[in-house]
Amino acid sequence: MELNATIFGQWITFFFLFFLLTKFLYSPLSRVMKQRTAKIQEGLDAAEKARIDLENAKTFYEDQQVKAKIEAQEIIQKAQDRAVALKNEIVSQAKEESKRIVQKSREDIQFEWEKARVELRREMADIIFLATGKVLGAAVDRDRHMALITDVVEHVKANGA
Amino acid sequence: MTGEKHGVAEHLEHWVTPVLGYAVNLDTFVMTGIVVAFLMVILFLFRINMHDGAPTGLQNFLEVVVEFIEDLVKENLPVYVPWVTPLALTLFIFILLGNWIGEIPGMKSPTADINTTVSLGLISFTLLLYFSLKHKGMGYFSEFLFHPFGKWLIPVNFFMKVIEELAKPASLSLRLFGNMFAGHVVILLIAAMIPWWMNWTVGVIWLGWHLFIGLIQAFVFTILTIVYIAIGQQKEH
Repeated sequence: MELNATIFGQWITFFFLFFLLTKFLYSPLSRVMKQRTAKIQEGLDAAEKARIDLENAKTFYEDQQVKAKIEAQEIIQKAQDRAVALKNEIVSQAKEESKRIVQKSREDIQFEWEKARVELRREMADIIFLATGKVLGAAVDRDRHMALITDVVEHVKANGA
Repeated sequence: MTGEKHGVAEHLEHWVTPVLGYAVNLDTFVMTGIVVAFLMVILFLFRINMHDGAPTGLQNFLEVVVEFIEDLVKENLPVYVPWVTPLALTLFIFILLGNWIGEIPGMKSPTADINTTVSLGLISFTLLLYFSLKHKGMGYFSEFLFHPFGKWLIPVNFFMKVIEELAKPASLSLRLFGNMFAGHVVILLIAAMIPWWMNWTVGVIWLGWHLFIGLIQAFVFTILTIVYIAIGQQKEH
């Protein structure tokens, strides 16, 4: 148990082993571990990017959904407004039409009324002619006595008809 | 009994052989050579199976060891120096396998030889000196003169600092040597004292304990070397 030249031999052995382990274990293993770490980091980065993309897509989808809802509401509102406007227009047109029809009906009635009056007057005159002819026992000339008969008819109309 | 003691003593002695005119412990070299050869086989197996996918088997184990040592170095050094990691790794693996090889029947731990532990201790001491001089420059020498008692007690300071610095490699070397050597002495004494048919029971218990001690000693030597380098890197005392 004494010190001798073994010390130097062990130094040589140690540094030989240091060279071996550095060149064939530590360096390649460190390189491999760094490569793996880089790969894992790449995977983590890709996963993080995918997560962010998903988050963005989700946000975009939600925004679009909100926009679509708002647009749908606007479209519905516009359609409702248009329907109300259309309804009002139709009602207004219908009122105008009904007024026009009523007016025309009144005019028609007035016209028919006037026509009936004229007809009635003519028929009354004819009756009066016949009656008068019968009473007088002679024929009454229509064209000749027309003015007279018309005066009678007007007189009758004014007094009671 | 005398014959048994003589046998134990004989087993603990080294095979001293002259090489180029200098005495060397041949058994220590042979055991160290076996450790190196074993490591070369492991490295060969590792290199032919190495891949950058999910590690398995041997690669997984080696990655755990390398990461463990790398973390130790990174956590302790104020200034990270990349080559310290493989150096600490070499120290750890060399001491660990040197400790464990002695547990195989017929083998001897090279770390149970004071020459091995002193050579490793001197490497650790050289690293301490290198980093102290690199980071403190002449300030390192002023520590010998003015610490801890200032300029009025320079001789005392110098004496205490020299003792402090020399104690570092000495304690490293003697701790490792003492533990390993004592382990072998104990196992030999147990083998000599109890009947042969009982040897395996005590042997197995002692083997487990001594494997644990071997691991702890390798770790202690490595972490203290890293700590000494860290002390060398610290600017102020």
